[in-house]
Amino acid sequence: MRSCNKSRKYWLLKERRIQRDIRKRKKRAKKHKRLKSSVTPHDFRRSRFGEDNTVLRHCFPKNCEFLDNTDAFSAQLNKILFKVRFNRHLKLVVLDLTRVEKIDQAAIVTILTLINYLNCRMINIYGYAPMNDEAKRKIEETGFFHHVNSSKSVMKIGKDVICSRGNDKSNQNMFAQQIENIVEHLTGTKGPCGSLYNILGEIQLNSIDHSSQNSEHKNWFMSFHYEKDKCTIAMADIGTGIINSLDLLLKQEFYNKIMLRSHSQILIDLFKGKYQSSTKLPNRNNGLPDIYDAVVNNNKAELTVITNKAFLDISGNKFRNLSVNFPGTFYLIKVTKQHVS
Amino acid sequence: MMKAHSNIEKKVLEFSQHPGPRYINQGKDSGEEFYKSYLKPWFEDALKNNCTLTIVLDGTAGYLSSFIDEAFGRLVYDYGRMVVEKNLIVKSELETIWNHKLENKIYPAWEYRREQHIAPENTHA
Repeated sequence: MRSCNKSRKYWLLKERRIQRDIRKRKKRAKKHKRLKSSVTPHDFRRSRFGEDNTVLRHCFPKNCEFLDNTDAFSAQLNKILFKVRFNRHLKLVVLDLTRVEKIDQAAIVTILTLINYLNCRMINIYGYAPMNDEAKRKIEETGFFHHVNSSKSVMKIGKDVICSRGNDKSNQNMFAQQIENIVEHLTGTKGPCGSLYNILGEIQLNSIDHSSQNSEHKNWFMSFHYEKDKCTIAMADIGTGIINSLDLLLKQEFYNKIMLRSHSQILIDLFKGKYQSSTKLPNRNNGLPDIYDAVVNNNKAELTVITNKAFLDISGNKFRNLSVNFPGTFYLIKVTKQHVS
Repeated sequence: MMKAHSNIEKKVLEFSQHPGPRYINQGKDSGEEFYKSYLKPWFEDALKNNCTLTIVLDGTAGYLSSFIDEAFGRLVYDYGRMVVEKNLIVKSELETIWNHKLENKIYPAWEYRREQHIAPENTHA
């Protein structure tokens, strides 16, 4: 009888213990579910990068034209940068271009700038060539794959393309040499071109100033393309972009004014010198207005600028707003014989 | 305006063929470096000898506006616009645009900084 009571008590306690365990387990599962739904960098790494979070593979789509398809291309860049910034363990990025059928020079330069940006963050790059012959030829001509495998800062790829990249320091010696070559290519006689020197120097300094607030992450990429009757200079940096960095610096004073205006309007006003420099010094903020003056009033070059949500063709006086933020600044300068003579 | 008697002519080419950015920490051959190592000693010599200093801009690959601003602007900050305009001539046959910018933008802006005691930034490599 005693043993029977004992056993009943035993089973009663055991049942209570089981129920308590079930309740605890349910509570724990609920808590875990709640944690899982909130995206933390730790969860992001676990869920998105799987077991091997040191490698990121990115496939570019068929249409990779930057100037005609700016929003879609910017979205691709944002996708990569988002993953790079969240994943501290990333060591290798694989850029897969096998599907690419259409690509322009601007897109190639921007991808090379991205590579420079990743190199500044000590991330290795690996690339796959496009299957499409024309796209492959275009990319090979710019020395893309040579650049991916190289660690040199300045490289000569072919007869028509010269690329240079840098970090938080300007390099005027490199572009001074190229300017002399451009003048010789277009006019037949070698010589300097002061206005082009000023434009390239100022956009390089601008890229250094606006690419990042952290000096280790500052980067720029410049390439010179020689064609029959013209030369194209493309320069890009990846980081904050002109307007976003301006917004950060001048938030206090110009917040209301800026928020009511579109990015392209702000960019035009910046080039016209309507905004005060972040340093608030009267002698500063002359770089962009000087470029505007050289391009519009003195006809020294043709200039297109893409930064954040602004697309500005200064020489053609055309501008449009972009729906996707371009994370940096891209300049395209076209020079003909008329401009340098 | 009373002019000084003799003239000392110096070329920016003596400093560099490729003048660079504004500050020393931004890159090689900066305006700040040119001012500290060349322009200021030249100008002090000219003042000591009661001479006019002529700076020849031609011969280089070109200039960044920030280089010109920092180099010649600091001179205005240290000596005042009147003294600089009296004792300095900036000469350029190829790029006359800089003379116009110096007179209309750079000198007035730096004179304002001098009046307001807004000292220029000193950077290091």
